[in-house]
Amino acid sequence: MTASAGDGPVEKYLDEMFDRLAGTGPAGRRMLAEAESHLLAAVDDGRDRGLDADAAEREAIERFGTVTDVVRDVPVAARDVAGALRRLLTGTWIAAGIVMIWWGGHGVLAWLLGWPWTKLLIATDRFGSQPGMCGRPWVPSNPTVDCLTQHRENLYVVIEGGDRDAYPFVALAGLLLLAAWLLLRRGTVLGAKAWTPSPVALGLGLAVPFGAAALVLTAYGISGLYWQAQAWTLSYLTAGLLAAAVSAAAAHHVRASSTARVGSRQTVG
Amino acid sequence: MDVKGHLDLLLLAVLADAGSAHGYAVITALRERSKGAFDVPEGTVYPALHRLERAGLVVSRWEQATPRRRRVYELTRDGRLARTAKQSEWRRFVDSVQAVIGPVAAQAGA
Repeated sequence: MTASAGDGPVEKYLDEMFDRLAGTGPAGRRMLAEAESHLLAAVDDGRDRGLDADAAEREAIERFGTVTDVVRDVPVAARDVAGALRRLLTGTWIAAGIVMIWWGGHGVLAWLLGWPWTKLLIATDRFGSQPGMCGRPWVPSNPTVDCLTQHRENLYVVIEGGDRDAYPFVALAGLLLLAAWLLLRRGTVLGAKAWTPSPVALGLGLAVPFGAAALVLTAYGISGLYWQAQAWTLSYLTAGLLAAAVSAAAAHHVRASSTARVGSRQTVG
Repeated sequence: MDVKGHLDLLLLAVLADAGSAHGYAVITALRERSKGAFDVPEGTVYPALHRLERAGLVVSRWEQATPRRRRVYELTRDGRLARTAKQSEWRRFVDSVQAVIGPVAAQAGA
């Protein structure tokens, strides 16, 4: 029997797997035992083919796959309260990132769309509801501010009158949150099953509230459109449509994961 | 070649022919019988074997073989039935696809 060195690649790999299997209980212990047996057998084969110990261990690990790939399908132990809290924490982390991207993103998008939107309002006299937008009493008394700038300054973002400068930073912070999670799950315990939120729970947790928000915001935006194209119409429509996109993506994720689960059951059944 | 979605059937087929086998032998058989086409990350086969066991299609036991103990797997009666059913389903699927895309000879001549 070829025992792996105490600090060799296989031993380090198994140490990492042990950490990543936290919360998986008996299934995890069995996975770890079988992984060790498999890797040692593969190292023996490599040595028989003339590889030195280090090369044989590295080859065995490479063929076995990354720890993330292997532990992904190891089920978590039932009634694991600590595991549930871990998954809740990670789910909250992801959801917070998405909410921040949505919130900041709608502000940035509304700001960018403000130019063509205002030009459209001026060109169409607010869709025919307010003739002479650039004439008195609507024109600015300050001659240094043109009609377009004047009207664009009146565009509100959600919440009406909110601090416009904060939106890009909120969106960026959300992106950084998600990027940090994606990076950390590749090389830390966050990639373990015990730390990975259920796709259905996370998907529904996003699809339902974002779907409800989409309905309310879009309806409010449309009502503003019919009533002299109010200053807040654009941002509410933007926020509503973005929320609808998030909700649709989350619902698709739920459906895809449910279909995959049913397919897996049918395959083994 | 991506075997995702077909791994369970492949494992059932290997175990049906092998009688009983440990994970390392199952993976080696999978690679050799596919002539290297199904060279999956070996570690991902174990969770699939465990899933089959939870479904009642496979049973396993630790075997104190030399030089180390190994977990040995074999099909249950349900596993053999599932293998036969899934194999028939797969052949029907292949025949149907073949009927749509045409025989190999026709493609070569096109």
